[in-house]
Amino acid sequence: MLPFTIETYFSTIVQYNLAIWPAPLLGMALALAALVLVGRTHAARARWIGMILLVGWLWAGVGFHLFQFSQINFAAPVYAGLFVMQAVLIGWLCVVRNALSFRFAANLPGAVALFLAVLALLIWPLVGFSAGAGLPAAPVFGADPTATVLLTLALWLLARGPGPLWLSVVPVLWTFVDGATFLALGAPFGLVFPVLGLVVVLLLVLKRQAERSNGSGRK
Amino acid sequence: MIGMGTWVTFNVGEDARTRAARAEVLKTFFDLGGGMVDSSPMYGSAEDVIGWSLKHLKANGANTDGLFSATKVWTPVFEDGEAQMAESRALWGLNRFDLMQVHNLVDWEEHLETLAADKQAGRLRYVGITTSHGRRHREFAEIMESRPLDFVQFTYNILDREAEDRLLPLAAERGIGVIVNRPFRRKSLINQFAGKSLPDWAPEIGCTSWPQFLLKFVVSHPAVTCAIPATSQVAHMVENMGVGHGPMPDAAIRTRMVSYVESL
Repeated sequence: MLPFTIETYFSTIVQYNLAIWPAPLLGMALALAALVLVGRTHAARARWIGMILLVGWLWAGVGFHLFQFSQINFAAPVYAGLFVMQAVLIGWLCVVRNALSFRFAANLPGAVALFLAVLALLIWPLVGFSAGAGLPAAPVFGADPTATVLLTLALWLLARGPGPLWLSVVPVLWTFVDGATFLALGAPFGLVFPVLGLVVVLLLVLKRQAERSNGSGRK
Repeated sequence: MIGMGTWVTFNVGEDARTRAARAEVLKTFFDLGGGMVDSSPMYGSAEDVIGWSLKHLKANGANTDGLFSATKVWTPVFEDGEAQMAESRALWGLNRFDLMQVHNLVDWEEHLETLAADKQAGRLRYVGITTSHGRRHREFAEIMESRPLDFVQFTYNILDREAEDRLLPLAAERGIGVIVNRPFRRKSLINQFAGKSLPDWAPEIGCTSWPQFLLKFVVSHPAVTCAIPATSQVAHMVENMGVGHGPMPDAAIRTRMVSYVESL
């Protein structure tokens, strides 16, 4: 049993977005920029994508979970810790070591990545938007954990190199937290998140196996 | 006899419109003679919203003198109980609480010592402990038998009657006030019986709805001091507060009430 209703949950997003406005617009811009930067081999672009993800996870962890969500949910500080940990891991692998590259691919992981990106940038913000209060009600990358996780999983499906699989542990775990949360709040759409999480894990495993078989596991 | 719980219902964050709506619920509670408001730091922003509502009501000339403030100390992870209680006082806008309870028995040994000292020094009127969902009743009874307590809080409703075995008689025996939580199992009992007819003798005990029937069963137990149903709606508060008036079922009718619901 959660200590809040679904109305209060989305109201919390609205209040947070209003408090930091127009920063959520920056979050949306960063998410779009990350997708634009996905291309063929270019080390600098990959590092920039890593930095965008680092900022997003830190923002969602400290800004949203620790300072906002904690007002209505006593578990929020734990979530904040998880998100900060993920930010550190992304920072190490994607920014410091620049170990990943990203590119679009016309295959199943690419298609699922595209779906996740649309979910993160369009559909999920519309779900919040429909709760009322206009644009500030839209949950977006950085300001909202769910949007941040969805975009991250999309990018992991487009990544090459060591890391996306174990870097997906926290985001996939979050899809289960999200699923459990929304189901407990009486929102059946919550089931979508853990299903997507499992699909991403499966695709990452298969992708990694294919990369190893082709001898193309390195960036 | 009818208090007000704040789990979920008052955890509404910063939204001004929703806070104002909760203040109306609280005003209705006081206007209809209500006193005990129960909360906890575990309930998110509930204490903040209570404090805001009390301030809002006073500023608008409402009478909040009947308030019996009841909250809890809850320290599941390395928290300072005294600091938490000080924060609760600040949030409610009070110099002292009427009742401080150890929430779900977390760190109860340490906190009961602190609360006893606070009571001795006049910083607190009453001391209590809480549990819910039928958990830890044996340990709860042991504490009731061995420690000086003014109030205990636990779950009791027409289907969850474990407390009748030991806790309720023990409370009566030791003169401990009983606060009942989850009188409706968080609405699930109301939903379970919605659409089913009340017994034709329900009006004899002043019940015209299932919430009244379910709540009256709880508060008619001779050992129960009050129940603390939570609501976010003024109409439901009016309905709940009406239960405190009118005929109370005796032991025989209470048995009939249980038999009736179990037959549904």
